[in-house]
Amino acid sequence: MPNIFAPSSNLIGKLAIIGVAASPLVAMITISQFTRSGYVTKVGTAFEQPVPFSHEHHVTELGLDCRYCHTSVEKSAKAGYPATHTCMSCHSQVWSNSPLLEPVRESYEKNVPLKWTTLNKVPEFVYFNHSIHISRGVNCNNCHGPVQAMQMAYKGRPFQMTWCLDCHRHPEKYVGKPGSAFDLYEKIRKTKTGTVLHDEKTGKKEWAGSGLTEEEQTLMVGDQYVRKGEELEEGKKLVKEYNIKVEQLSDCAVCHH
Amino acid sequence: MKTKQWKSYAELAKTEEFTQWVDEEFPNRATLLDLDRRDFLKLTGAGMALAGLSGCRIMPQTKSVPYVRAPEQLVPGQSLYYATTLESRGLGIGVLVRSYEGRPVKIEGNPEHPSSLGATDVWTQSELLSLYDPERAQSVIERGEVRTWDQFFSTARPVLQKEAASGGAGIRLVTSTVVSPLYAATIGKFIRAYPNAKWIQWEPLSQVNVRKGTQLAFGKPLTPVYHLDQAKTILSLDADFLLTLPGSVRYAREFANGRRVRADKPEMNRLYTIESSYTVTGASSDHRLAVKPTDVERVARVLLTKITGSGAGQLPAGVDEAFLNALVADLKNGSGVVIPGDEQSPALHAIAHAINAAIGANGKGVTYHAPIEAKVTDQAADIKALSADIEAGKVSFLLTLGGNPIYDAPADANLKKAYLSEKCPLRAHLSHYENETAELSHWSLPESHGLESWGDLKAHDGTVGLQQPLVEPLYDTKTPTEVIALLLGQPLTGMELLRQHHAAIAEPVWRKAVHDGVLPGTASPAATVAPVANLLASLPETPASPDLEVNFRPDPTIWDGRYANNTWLQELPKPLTTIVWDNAALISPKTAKKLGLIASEGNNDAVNIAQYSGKKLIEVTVGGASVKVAVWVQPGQPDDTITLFLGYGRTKGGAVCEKQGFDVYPVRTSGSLNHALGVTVKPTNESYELAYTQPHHLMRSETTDPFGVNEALHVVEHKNRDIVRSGTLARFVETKGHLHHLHEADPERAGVAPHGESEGEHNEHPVEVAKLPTIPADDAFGLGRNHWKYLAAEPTVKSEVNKEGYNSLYPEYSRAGFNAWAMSIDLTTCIGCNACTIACQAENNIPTVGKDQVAAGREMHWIRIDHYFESADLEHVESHFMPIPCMQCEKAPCEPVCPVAATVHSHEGLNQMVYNRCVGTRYCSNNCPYKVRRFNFLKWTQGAGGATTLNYFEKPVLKMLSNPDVTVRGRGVMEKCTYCVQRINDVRIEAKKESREIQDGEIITACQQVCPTQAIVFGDINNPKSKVSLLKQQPHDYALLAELNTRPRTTYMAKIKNPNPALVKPVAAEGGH
Repeated sequence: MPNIFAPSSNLIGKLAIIGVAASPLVAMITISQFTRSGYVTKVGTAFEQPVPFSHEHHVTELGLDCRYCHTSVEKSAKAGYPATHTCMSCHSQVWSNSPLLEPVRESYEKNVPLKWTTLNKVPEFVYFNHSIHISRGVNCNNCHGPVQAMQMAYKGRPFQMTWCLDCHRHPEKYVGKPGSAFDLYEKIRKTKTGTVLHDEKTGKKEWAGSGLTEEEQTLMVGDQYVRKGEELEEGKKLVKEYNIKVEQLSDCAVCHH
Repeated sequence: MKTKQWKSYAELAKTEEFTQWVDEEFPNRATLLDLDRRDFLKLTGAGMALAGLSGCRIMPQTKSVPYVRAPEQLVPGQSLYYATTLESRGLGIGVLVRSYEGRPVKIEGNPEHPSSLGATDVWTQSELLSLYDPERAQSVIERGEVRTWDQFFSTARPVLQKEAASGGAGIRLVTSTVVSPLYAATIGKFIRAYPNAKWIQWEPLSQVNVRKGTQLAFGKPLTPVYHLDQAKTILSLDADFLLTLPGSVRYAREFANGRRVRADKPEMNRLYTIESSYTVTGASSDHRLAVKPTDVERVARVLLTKITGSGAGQLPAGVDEAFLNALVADLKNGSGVVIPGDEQSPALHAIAHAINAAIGANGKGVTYHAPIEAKVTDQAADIKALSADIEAGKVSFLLTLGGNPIYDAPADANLKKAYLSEKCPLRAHLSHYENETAELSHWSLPESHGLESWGDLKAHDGTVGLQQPLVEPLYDTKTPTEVIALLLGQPLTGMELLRQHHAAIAEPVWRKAVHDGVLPGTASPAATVAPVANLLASLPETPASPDLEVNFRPDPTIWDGRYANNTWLQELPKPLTTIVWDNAALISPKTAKKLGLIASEGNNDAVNIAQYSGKKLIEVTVGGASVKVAVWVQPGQPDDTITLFLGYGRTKGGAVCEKQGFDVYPVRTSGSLNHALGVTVKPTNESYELAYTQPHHLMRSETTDPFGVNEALHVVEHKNRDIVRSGTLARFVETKGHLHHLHEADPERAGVAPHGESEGEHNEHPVEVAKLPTIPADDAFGLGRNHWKYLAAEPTVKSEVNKEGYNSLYPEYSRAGFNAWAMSIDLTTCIGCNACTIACQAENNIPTVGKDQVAAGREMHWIRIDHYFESADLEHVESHFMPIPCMQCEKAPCEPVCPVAATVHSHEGLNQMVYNRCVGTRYCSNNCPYKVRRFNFLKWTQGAGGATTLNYFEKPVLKMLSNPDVTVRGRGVMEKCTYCVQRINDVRIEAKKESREIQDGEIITACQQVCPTQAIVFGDINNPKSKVSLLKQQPHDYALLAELNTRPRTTYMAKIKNPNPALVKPVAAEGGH
């Protein structure tokens, strides 16, 4: 009687056994990678908005301050969205006939608010406060990515808890001097250059301009900067100056209540 | 006489039900889930396999909607506070309302308002839910058809025009008691336009007897206002001035101010109560006499003759002459005041005023002012006349503005019959709810809520509080003032009407008044009064009453029925009885036995009562009418007196109030609005289960030690240790405040541990920190993450919190370097009013669960008021109230048992509860000796508790109710008191932004803020000068269940009473240690 299985099928059998044994691991890795993927976190996805508002144009090219529109970022938990009135303070004069701005004019005339698609959002059981982070000199781009370069706004960071905790356990890596949260944008305003350039050959992201520290350049292109040596020491000094009680920062009730 | 602390008859009887409640957290839970072992395992397996998936979800797309034109001052994410005035039980109380992005989310007291002084009561707190109540009247309805306001006015105006010819003789305007100057003036205009129209005020609970009383005593109707701050002796004659009397919030503060016993100030006032039901005022009194309603008047007569020294009266049987003599001596001692209750007869009021005059209290302890209401009327007579007029066909337009006369008018007015006779062709009813009166009216008109209206309301002392809207009306509603103005053809807004009325006030003054919520200088001046000579001779005789009597009382939560659709109030355990969602007939144990309701043979009384109370209906007959009511055997209730509570048994007005409890209005007639004589009670065989929380969350367990483990470990057994520690002022002075130190037994209390000599040794061994085992800082409980640091080098907590000084197996806990939040609760000034429970519910988005779930022990309140009886027998009880929030133990037993670290310690000493980590094992609540943890058994916010509870999902308006700073919890999650951590975080962030330390008193918890007596103090015990630190240094500060060594951050100050030494019976010699 001929063998039903060729000798090679041993290998298939072994592989099958290994495959079955490894499948839970594979499944776990797949699921964990899936939950971290842009598909779930929506990082880098620009959603349709009522008006194709360009942060790049307003921030880099025109040099508007973040706080011109996000007025409460220094005072309140929420940064705040600009009222239609804020848009109209310029656009009643500038581009007042642009068809792209029709929704803004309509909102202003009919007193019906614009409805923006929310990009940056933490879950309901997380209580994030903008004002305290700004007062500790944390740069906007640290959490929101290269906003100054966004044609259409998108989410810059995945907002996963481990990412929050990285700073809350090691604030020296991210805190800045008092009042320095907007320094980067000050420089952008002065040089009027802040657009990210892509080198097509190397795929490297770069910033065109001068006078920025290495950390600021990294923030400009939307990467996470890793402080080393002296910078870290500087950060630790700031943490002490601010009287930040680092152990307490990772107490659950600081963010969850 | 030795006394014992107990909570329920079941406890005294040691019934099976009771032992289950002690031993198991939730008795009978097996019956809730009828599964066999196989199904259980299947479900468990499936649950474990799928549990992880429940955490997965993709965040939904949401929209961000900014303003078109941002309002001035409004900062997104930050709250604004506005002063306004709300109606609490018919009078104005000043409030500050938190408005978050345009919606009111929390009500606090206005410190500048004389009735509030910064605190509020349960009714004011729950106005928030009333505003968002999905069952509110929302549109104009004519006989079941939706109409518009215009359609109503075009129907009403021709009728008015026709009536104008006769001066409006056919018009009847029915309102509640009017205490608003604007409303009164608008009605005045209406009456001027239609001079023959009749304006009738009707409210089931009114101050008619108070006015009649001053009429008898001084010849004119007046409002007495009491000043308890300086009073040394207070006598309450059936007056529940701590909870139900107008101005109760202020009175409670003044009363408590005279009772804050401290080591350096060992003095307090003395409260005598003579009352015909058991009230929280009676429970807070130093001497209490429980007598029948008519006997209160008899006792008062004798009291007056004793004080004036003229004539002699006959005391009712059972009243001790020595008691009266001691009381007279105290009252005559200067700084005394007598307070008569609203429900008592005019004669009693007159006698009380005469006593006040005789002891020199006039102008000191009590002042008399012009009546608060716009017109003093005999309300019962008026409503009866209205009914007769309707029957006679004299009424062509009946407009009832507010109130609910069909439900609550006296039975002998027969108002319902008059309505149904259809002799009045146009009946309209303005109301917050489509209630019984709306059902029988042709037009049902929706009324604006106080938080949506402009207006003004007088406080208990006549001060005018201004009302400004926090939101635009949610529905197409109007205030009564606006309706009358529109009927008069004045289409003005509420604001215009109010400003017009107060046009004499200059604009800057007006703006400031609106900002402050109070019109300055409007408190009515004290009137000079001259007592009538020979008062007693002019008073009618007290009616003879050989039999049972009934007294009608406002329900302590839903009042006369007006708050009946408020789920928070329905689920609030009523003070003393702890009944929820129902009313009951209170009856004393002795009377229950006398009437044959409970068996007098067989078991002992406690067992018989435990098997009967709250489980059967009785039939109460007054005159010709009778009602069936659930029976509740209440210790402390006077004999031969049945107390019936108003407000229940509603038939229309929302799913929450309908079919709950028993309507007792059918036996309440205009002659017996407050109490009735000649009552008969018949037992019935009908069963009825009341839901009550008295046996829930029992902390004391009769521990057994079969293996001698405790003995071997020298664990002191505290089964006899009182949970509420109490003592007399005399003993406080004698022991220098160390009432219970060194287990020195108070000879009067059987409860205090009768320990042997050997056990006393424990006290001489305070914790030696250096010898205790330490755990590496980074690895507490092996969970990694330095979430709890032990610093053996800094023994900061050696014996400050745990005064018992027991050794601990756990390592020391350090609070160095951080704010250490703690709370102190003064049991002497806690009056058991429940305001903290409701304030906590509002602040922390606590759901309601419905009657059945409460009966299963699943109520969700984060702070509960435990109520203990203390007595030597079943009848002569004292009561103790004890608010129990989370103790925030430094060595919290709940923490080490959590398998997922969902409850962990913060560096500021909070025992944090992380909802998003919790998997619902309930191990923590199992291990909590204080039983403060609450579990979301079902989806409460999705209506799982039944139709009567809050269903956020089907009724989206309720979403506006929730505090945006607190997570709404889902099913399967544990929750508990957080010390209002959202408020702590807010203040901490603000302080950090300003680079400063948090100041003492900057953080106020919701329970602390609402407390009328300021019994709750919160603060940082690392600041030695903080209020809470100073309180914790008081000698009578103690930790609850200190022997468990949990080092609670919440501690209590022992309850001090101030009995008259002349009335303290000598201690029996037997049995003392």
